[in-house]
Amino acid sequence: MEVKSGRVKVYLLPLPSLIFILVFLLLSLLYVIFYTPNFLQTFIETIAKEDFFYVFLRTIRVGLIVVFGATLLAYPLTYYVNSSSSSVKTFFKIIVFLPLMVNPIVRSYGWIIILGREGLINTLLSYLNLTVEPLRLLYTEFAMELGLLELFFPFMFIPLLSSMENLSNEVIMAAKSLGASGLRVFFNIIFPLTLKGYLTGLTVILAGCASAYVTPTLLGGFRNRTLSMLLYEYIEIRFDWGAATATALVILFTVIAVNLFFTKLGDYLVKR
Amino acid sequence: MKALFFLVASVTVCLLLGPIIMPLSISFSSVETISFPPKGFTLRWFYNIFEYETFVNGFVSSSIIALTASFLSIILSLPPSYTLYRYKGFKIKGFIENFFMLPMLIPEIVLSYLLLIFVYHTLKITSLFSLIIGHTLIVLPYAMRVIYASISNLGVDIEDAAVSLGQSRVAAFFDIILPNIKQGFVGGFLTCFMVSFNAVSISLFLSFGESIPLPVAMLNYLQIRYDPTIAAISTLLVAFSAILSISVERIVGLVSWVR
Repeated sequence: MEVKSGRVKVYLLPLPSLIFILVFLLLSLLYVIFYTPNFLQTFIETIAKEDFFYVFLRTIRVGLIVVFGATLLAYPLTYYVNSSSSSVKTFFKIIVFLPLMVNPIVRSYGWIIILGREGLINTLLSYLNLTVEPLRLLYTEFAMELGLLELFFPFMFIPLLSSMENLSNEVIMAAKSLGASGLRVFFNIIFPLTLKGYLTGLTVILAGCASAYVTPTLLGGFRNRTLSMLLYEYIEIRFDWGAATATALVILFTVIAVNLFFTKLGDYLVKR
Repeated sequence: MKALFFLVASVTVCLLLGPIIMPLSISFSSVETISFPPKGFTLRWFYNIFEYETFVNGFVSSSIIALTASFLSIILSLPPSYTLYRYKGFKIKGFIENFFMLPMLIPEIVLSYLLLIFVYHTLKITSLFSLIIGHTLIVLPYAMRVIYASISNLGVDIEDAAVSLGQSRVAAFFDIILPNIKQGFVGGFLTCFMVSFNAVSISLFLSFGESIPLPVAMLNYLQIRYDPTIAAISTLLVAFSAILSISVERIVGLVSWVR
């Protein structure tokens, strides 16, 4: 009897925490949808605007470019770090881990100093007499992509490195001794065997780029708006909560779709 | 091949460290705009921070919010972690684990908007409490992960031993379980504090009136002035982050909380 009554109580323990999430996360989501008058019509009107479509396209494009950059850096780097001594490994783990602890505003501000009109790059270029006028680097899509690449790189590096650590060196040696070229080893062995970690990183980056706010705002400028900036604009400048709800839902759907798609793809490919 | 790796490694190091080092370099510069290289030497920007009350108050608000949210999220993640630890064959185990990760799946900016409409405008909860609710939701998955990991490392037998020797379940929990997960407690708390302190969009959407967190004060300042005061704050914040992350490293070990 004693044990049984204890068991019932233990079953109930998670309830308060579940209710907390249920009320503030799910109930507020439902509330916001039903609070909007003519929700479906507002939603369709908002996303059908030409402006909205371009912002959506830019958001996706920026995400893909950042993923491309992260792939280009993370694959060689994790391969190299994995085959290095443990002190090199620790060094890179610290370097990658450190930025995660620093406020994104500080990091974007750092990029402003690097890319600004009187910033590091422009000073260097004019010192070398390569340019007459300072280049416009800040408040461009490129600046935004650099900032986001720096922001999200750790989330590609960490899962990819742990995949590399699970990859046994003998398999690569075997392939090489049988005459496979470097590229062949990469595409036939390394890539398939680290796919799970890669897809984890890719998912975090795509979802992160679709919803980041501070970095795109400070580096991309008003002309290069992404979905999150549009959401902020609808709330704080245009006071259009119907359109804001539609934008928020598009961000949410994009993030969930990316997560589901790549998780399923990963399961499917790894099983095969 | 070696050269390629060296190139990639140096590009990555510059990419990751450049934006953190840059603010430090110009925070002592006497030039009034954001320009590189720094010229002269002045402590003016550091004085500026403490003269501008919004920053000092912002630091206090941010700390209060982060402390409360970390405390609440640990309190909220203890009971479910205990349940999952006691009953390995719990039928809805996977469901509960996933449910607590939900706040991570919903983007911070979307969550901020939902709470703005529902909690602040509809339930009329004050700005400070809305901020605390928002920050608690954001750090909850981190707390859950650390607390659950440290509690599931304990064997069930040590608690059973105490109970079979006549202690009540509740007393056994406080005397046996809690002291044994002290490390997870401290590590989880610091991790949550850090994540909350650095969360920007939730603070931006939910701060009205008195309680303006530091990141929002910084964003507002950047919109009106363009001098290195923000560089000086950044320098202090980087030092603050470094101290906290060394503590996290010492207590929970490197990168254990990022997947």
